[in-house]
Amino acid sequence: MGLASYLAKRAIERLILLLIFTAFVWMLVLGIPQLVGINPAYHFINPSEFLHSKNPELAEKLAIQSIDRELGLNYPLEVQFFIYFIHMLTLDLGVCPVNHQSVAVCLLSALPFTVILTIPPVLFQTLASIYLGSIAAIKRNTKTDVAIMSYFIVDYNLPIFVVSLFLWFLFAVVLKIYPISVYNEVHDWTNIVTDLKVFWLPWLILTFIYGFSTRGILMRNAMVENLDSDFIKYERLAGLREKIVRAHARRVSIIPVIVRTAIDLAFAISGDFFLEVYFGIPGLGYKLYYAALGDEIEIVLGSTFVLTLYAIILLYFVDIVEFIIDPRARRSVK
Amino acid sequence: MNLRRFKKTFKELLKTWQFLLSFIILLGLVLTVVVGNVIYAKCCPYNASYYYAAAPFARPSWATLFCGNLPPDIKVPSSYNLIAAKCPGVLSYWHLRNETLNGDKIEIIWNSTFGPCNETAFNKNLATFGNTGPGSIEIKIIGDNPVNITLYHCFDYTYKLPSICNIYLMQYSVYSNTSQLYIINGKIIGPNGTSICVLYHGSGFPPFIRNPEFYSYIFNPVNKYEIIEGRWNFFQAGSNVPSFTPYYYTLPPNESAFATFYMIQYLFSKDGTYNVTFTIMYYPSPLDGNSTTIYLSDVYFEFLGSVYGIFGTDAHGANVFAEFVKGGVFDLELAGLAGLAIVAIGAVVGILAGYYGGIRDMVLVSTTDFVLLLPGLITILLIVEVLTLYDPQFLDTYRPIILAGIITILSWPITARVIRGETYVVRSKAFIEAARALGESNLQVLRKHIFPNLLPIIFAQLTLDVTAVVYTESTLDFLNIGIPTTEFPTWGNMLGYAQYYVASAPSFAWWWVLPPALALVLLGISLFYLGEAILERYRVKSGVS
Amino acid sequence: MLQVSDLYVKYSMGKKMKVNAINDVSFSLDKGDVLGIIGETGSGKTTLASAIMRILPDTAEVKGKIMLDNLDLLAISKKEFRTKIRWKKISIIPQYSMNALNPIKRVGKELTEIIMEHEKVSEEEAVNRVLSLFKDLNLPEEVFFKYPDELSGGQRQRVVIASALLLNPEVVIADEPTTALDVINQARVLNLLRNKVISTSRILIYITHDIAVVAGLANKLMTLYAGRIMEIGSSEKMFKNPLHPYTQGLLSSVPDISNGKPVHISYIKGDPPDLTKEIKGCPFYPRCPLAMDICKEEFPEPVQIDDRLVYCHAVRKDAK
Repeated sequence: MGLASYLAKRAIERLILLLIFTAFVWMLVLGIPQLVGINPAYHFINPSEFLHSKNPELAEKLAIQSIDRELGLNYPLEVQFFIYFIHMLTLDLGVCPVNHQSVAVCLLSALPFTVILTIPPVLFQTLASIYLGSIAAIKRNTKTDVAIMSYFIVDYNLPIFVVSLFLWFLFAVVLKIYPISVYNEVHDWTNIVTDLKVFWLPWLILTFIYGFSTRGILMRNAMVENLDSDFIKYERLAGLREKIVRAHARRVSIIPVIVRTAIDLAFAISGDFFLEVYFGIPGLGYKLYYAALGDEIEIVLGSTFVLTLYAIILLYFVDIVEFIIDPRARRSVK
Repeated sequence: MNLRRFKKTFKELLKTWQFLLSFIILLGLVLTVVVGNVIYAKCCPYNASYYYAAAPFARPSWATLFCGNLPPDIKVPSSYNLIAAKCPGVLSYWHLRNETLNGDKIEIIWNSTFGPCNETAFNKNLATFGNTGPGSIEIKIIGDNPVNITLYHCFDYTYKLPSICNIYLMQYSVYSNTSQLYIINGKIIGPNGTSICVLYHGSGFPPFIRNPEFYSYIFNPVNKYEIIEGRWNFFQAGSNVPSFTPYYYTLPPNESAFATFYMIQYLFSKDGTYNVTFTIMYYPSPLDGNSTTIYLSDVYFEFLGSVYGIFGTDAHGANVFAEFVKGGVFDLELAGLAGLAIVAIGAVVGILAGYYGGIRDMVLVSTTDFVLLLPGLITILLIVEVLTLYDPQFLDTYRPIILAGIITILSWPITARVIRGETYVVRSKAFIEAARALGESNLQVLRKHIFPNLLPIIFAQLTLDVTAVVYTESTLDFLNIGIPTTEFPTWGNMLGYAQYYVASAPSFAWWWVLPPALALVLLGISLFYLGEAILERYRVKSGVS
Repeated sequence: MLQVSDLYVKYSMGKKMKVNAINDVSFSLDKGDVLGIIGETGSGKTTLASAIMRILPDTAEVKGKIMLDNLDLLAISKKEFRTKIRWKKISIIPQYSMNALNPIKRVGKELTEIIMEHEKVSEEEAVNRVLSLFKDLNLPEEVFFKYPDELSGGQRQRVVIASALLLNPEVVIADEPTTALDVINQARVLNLLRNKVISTSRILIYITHDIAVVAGLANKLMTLYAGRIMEIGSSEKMFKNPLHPYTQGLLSSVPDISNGKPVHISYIKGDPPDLTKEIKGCPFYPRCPLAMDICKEEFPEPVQIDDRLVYCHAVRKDAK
């Protein structure tokens, strides 16, 4: 099997996964309620609005019908799903019936915040975990190793909300070097000064506490295994300098870490969800959370779809990258 | 399972320090929670009737070691039975005796049959009322000369200045069946002669007995200053609601906004002996007969201190230790049940898929892929919010069960996959083939060979799952998606609750935040090491590297 | 010339346990010599090779002298050994040849890198040298651009042999290089060793427990038991007329199929001794058919018979 057919096969698998997931979310939010006889449109009208009209019942009915039309709820279920799925695939995410805003625009405005929040820590984290992991492996069973591993294990087990709470209190309330409420500070992500002012604490948390350790532990274990492996012994035997030998071991050990980084990145956005909500950074997770609390169904559906699509694309990317950087993977495909 | 083998394994595991330490920590946590729950069996700290065990944000009592000499709770009388005058000792406590004053004869007895009744719902919600039932001080005044009768008791205050959080209050209930005039006032008199009048009620205020200082108090329509004859009157006032006290009206207008502060600080500005006094000022009129009986009960003074119990108090003055142990019960129950459920489902599915392979395996692997793709927190948020939208009542009734269910459903496939992988390894070993060749049925092989060999992995997986369940649930509670703070405490919603108040607290309420936070972290780390120790032993024994 | 004298290697295990892996081993080899070292598993063959290559773990304690052309290999610093001796003077074909190549590197790149580490040559020249060596070893040129996973077992083995010959070393140690190969590849590799190593008057030390392999290759033979030399000398004579009871045992455990009749295969009864204990006398004593009382007490002085040395009380000079 060549590269092309392998990639095609993976692409189809990933696409099926996307389909199933989209169907799942749609069933959950719109499908099952309609199946058990609840019209979601009822939740978007405010009955008190119609009290003053001459015929409240008629007015309510008309309002529901208009929402039905807007959401496409007047079609049979299977047609609804089909239309919904086509809309999603064409990235036509619809208009929110609550605040009459285009969902795509709303999400697009949120996206930069999530990207700024996510990318720098992931990059730094990966470098740092590779570095620390390989040091721990080289100085195996010494105090350095124990210290680094303990750090990994402890922060692997630190609940993120505990850490956020303590650090936020320390920096915002005690030291007063972080804004108490972030939401009012960041509406314009292009302003680098406010960005730095707002993002440094979440970055700090993401970099040093959260999501770090898995890759660090992975790196350390892979490095230990590779330092003991026959080909590294052989390189030493052949008189290659220790620095080069270690670099080679590192190069092999990095592969699983890079794969893992890409997978982590695929789910990082939903992982950063908590920090966005906690600090009030108006990214995708924040939008999703408040949309869910505010019953803005179209935004919920749209942002979940975008997050899933993104994750699937990244997972597919992982397949390709793994293929490129690891000759062994190439061979196992053939 | 073979109990003796289990014991032996356990003893071996105890020899590694990680296991020992983790085991001790876990045991400590569980014991604290269990013992705490026995002690605070009925306490429900998120319920208003359990507020104000001490002042809000009171520190733990052991914190006096480094926080200085903070005032504890001061109660006069110190025992709750005496408050309601439920025992004869109340007379000597308040220094009361029969005597003749101004030519009037005063008879004071303890009446064991007559006592406060018909509290209003409002009164019942107050922190200290709620001790209705027979028992009161019966004061009979015979004669028609004005007299003052005083109940007094002293206490020592030798602590730091109280803070804005500290509260004191005075209360009593009174009954009389007469139209004679009398006024009851409650005062606290400090060592430097300052006195603060907290209570001032009367059966009427004709001009000749009015205290001009209290004019604006008496004529304030909001205050229910009047004692109504023929029924029990419940009165309570204190520094937390200064406008109910006459003191408030004696302050210059620019100070009245900070009345709470002044009430506390003026009063306790000096170390020394303080006096709590209740005075009955009797102004008889011959027209209304010459004998009056007044019943007093629930006579009480309370100062809410800044130190309390093991873990202090929260923003409402509720006991944090009670919160902690109540929250622990829920967290540990959930962790145990959901963890076991996940591992049980995961083990069954994983073993079957790994052992039989084929279509079962394929279904499992694709399910896992799907679940791995679901962003956990967001999915739970979606399900919870959809339920709130369409059937909030169902959600509210079964909230803990629904949450545990969702977490279980989202977690078991990953566990199943780990166990499947290990089953695969065990299945391909020679002794399984030998057993098969000897004619054992699949079920026998599974039961006798595969399952016992997988037990360590299953245990190790359990430790991981328990942590995951607790952390997920706590995050939900913290974000207010899970168990709300109106229901019952969990470690997660304690932190969320504390987080909400943390900015307004006078200082970082570490005694409120640390117990649940540390408990969660310790739980996670010790379970991790527990699992590691089990896995390590498994690796050494089976030679898997 | 390679001369090993009074070599001792001890591994310390734990606090007090010590394993006496090599005891009082001395021998010398001239240019063109091929030494076959045979012995059971755990007899110290690989430890001996590791001691010469200086790749023993830190827990090992080495005493004695290993002289290569008047240079004491144990006395020079590790760095000097790496830059001056490794691959340039002594190279090794390790036991794990199958996995010896970096899985994510092209084979040619790996070998070029080794050349460039040791010699200041341009990359082009290094590539050319690797390619010409490949040609010598009958390796197709495209192997240069392949990953180890894409090679067959025999090809990998040959690449490792090529690697060992990269810098034209004086001494090549082959540590059971054919164990993992099938018979045809085994023959090929042996042929290669014979043509490329022995014919170029290098010293080859061939370690194996497969006596048949060594028979056609070596001109000197050494039997090693529990870290001690039992017998060393010309292979031809040793095969024909083994003197030491251990050598006799080893040789008689090989089935002789030359005359077509099934023969009774004998084997040495008992197990090798526990090396963690200090052995006073001859370590082979418990299993030896010729054991005497003195064997228990002291290790025998070597007895020279023709050009061989035999370490046995039972063998006297007049025994020829």
